[in-house]
Amino acid sequence: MSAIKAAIAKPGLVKAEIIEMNENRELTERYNVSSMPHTVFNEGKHEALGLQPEERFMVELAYLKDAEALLEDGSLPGMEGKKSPSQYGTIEPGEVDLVIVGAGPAGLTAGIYAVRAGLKAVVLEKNIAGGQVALTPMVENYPGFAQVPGKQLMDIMSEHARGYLPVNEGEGVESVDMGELKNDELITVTTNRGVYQAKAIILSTGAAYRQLGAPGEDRYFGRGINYCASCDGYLYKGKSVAIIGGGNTALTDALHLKNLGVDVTIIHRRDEFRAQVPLQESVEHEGIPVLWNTEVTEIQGDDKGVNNLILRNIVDDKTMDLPVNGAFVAIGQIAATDLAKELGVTIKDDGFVKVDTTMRTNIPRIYAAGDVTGGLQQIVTAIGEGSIAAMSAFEDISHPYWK
Amino acid sequence: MSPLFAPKDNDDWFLPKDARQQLEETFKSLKNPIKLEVFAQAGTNDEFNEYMVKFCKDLDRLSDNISLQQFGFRTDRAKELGITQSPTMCLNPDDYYIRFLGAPLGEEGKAFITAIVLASMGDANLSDMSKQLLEPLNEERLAQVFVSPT
Repeated sequence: MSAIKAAIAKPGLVKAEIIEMNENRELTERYNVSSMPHTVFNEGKHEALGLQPEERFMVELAYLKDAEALLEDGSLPGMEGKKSPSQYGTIEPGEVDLVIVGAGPAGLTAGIYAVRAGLKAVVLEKNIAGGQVALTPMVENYPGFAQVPGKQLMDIMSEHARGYLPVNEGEGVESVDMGELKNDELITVTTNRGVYQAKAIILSTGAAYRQLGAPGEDRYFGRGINYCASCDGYLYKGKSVAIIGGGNTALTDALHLKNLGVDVTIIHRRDEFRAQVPLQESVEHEGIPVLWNTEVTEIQGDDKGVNNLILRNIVDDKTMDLPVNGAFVAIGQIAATDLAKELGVTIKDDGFVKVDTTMRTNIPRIYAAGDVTGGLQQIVTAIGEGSIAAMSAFEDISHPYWK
Repeated sequence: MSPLFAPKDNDDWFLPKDARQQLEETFKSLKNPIKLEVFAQAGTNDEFNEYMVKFCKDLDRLSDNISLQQFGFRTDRAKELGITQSPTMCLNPDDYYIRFLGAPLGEEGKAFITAIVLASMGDANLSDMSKQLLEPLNEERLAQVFVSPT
C-alpha cells in the first residue's frame, strides 16, 4: 500500500507496480525474489524485504538506502542530533495504561479485554498481526470453526481487536525501561516509531522458528531456505523441495506443498515421526518419500539460490547429495524471550517465561501470555491466557499489590 | 422444452454477495471517476486474465464512478503505456502510474480496492512525517512490490 500511496502523492515522479509473483515468473526470477513481500526500487538500485511501516518505506523510496544506513550516518530525517528518530508513527506514541507486545491470538485477546475493562492500551507487533496462526494453512481445532484457514481466523480476530484498540504492525519494541517502581515511575517502551509510557506491559511475543544451524542456512535465507510453507510454498510449484522435521508442522507442511504441486521429500533425523498419527497416515497415503535417520550437514547454492543439500545418514555415516530448489525447515519453536530476559523476567528450564496462574511474572507490572509461556501452545490456550493477563494488569493498575 | 426467453446474464456476478454489498458501501464515497484499463493477451495466464476481467467488471457494475476498458496487447493504447505482462491493470493511467501485474488474488484484492478509493480521493492519506519525507523527492522512482496471494 505504501508504494501506491507514494504514487498518488507524487504522480509523474513515483511509479508503483504490484506484481503477483506466481503469474509473473520471469520478473520474479530476474530479481531473485523468494520471500514475500519484496520491493525492488528503480530496477534493482535498492531492495526492501518484508513489511515496513509507511514512513520507513518513504525514506527508503526517497533515498534508495536502508533506513539503518541513514540512521548510522546521521542523515535520517527527523533525527537532528537526537539519539533516536521521532515522529515516525501514524498514531501518536504517548501515555497509555498498557502496552501489549505481540499481536498473535494472546496479544489481540488481551487488547480486547483490557479496553473493555477501561484501560487505554495499544498492541505493538514487529511483523504482521496474527502470529504463527496466520501462517497455518488450515486450523481444525478452534472451537466454533470446524475448518478455517489460519489467516482467515486471524483476520477475524484482528478486526475484532481493532474495534477496540490500535494494533500497530511493523512496529517492534526495541527497548523497555521499567522505571523505579517505588517512585511510581512509568514504564518507557521504545519502538522504531517513538516512545510509549505505560503502567504495565504484557509480553505475548510468541515463539520463533528453530534453525538447523547448518552452514549456508543464513546465507540462503529468503533464497531457498524457508520456514513457512503456507507463505512461500507457491514459489516452488513444479519444483522440488525438502522438508526437514518430523513433527506436526513438518508433516502438515509436506502435505500442503504436495497438494500445491511441489515435489517434496521429508528429511528426518530419527527413524520415526513424532507427529500425530492421522498426519503420518496421510503422508504415507500420498506417497511422500522420507529419508529417515538423516540430517542436513550443508546447504549449497549459487547466486540464484539453493540448489543442493548435503545429507548425512547418522546410522551408517554415509553422505549424499540431494539436489533441490529449496528447503523448508520445520524443526520446532523457540520462545521469543529476548525482551523478557533483558527485563530480568524468570525463565523456566525449558526456555519459556515463568508465570503463575494469573499470568503474572516475577516482576511487578510485567505479565505474559501465549506461546512464550510454554504449556500447550495452542490458539485456545493463548486466548485464555491473554484475557487473564489483561485482567491481572487491570487489577494491579487499580490496586497495586506491591504497595 | 426450450425456454421462451434467452437466459439472463444480469445475475452473472463474479464476486460473492456480501463482498459486493460491502464494496457498494465503500464506493458510495468515491469522488473522482476511476478508469480501470485492463490489458490481456489470450494464451498467456488465461485463468488470471479471466479473473482480472471478471473482478473489474463487477467493480464497474457496482459504481457509476468506476469504468472498465479492456484492451488487447497489440492495441495502440497498450503500446502507448508500454504494457508487457498479461494481465495488467492500470488505474487512472492518465493521472497516475499505478499498475497491478497479475490478477489481484487474496490479499491483493484489498490493496486493489484501497488503491481505487485513494486515487478517487486524489489524496494518499499519508502521515505528516511521510509527506515531509517525500517532499524533497525530485527524481523518478519505480517501486515494484512482489506479492503472493497468501
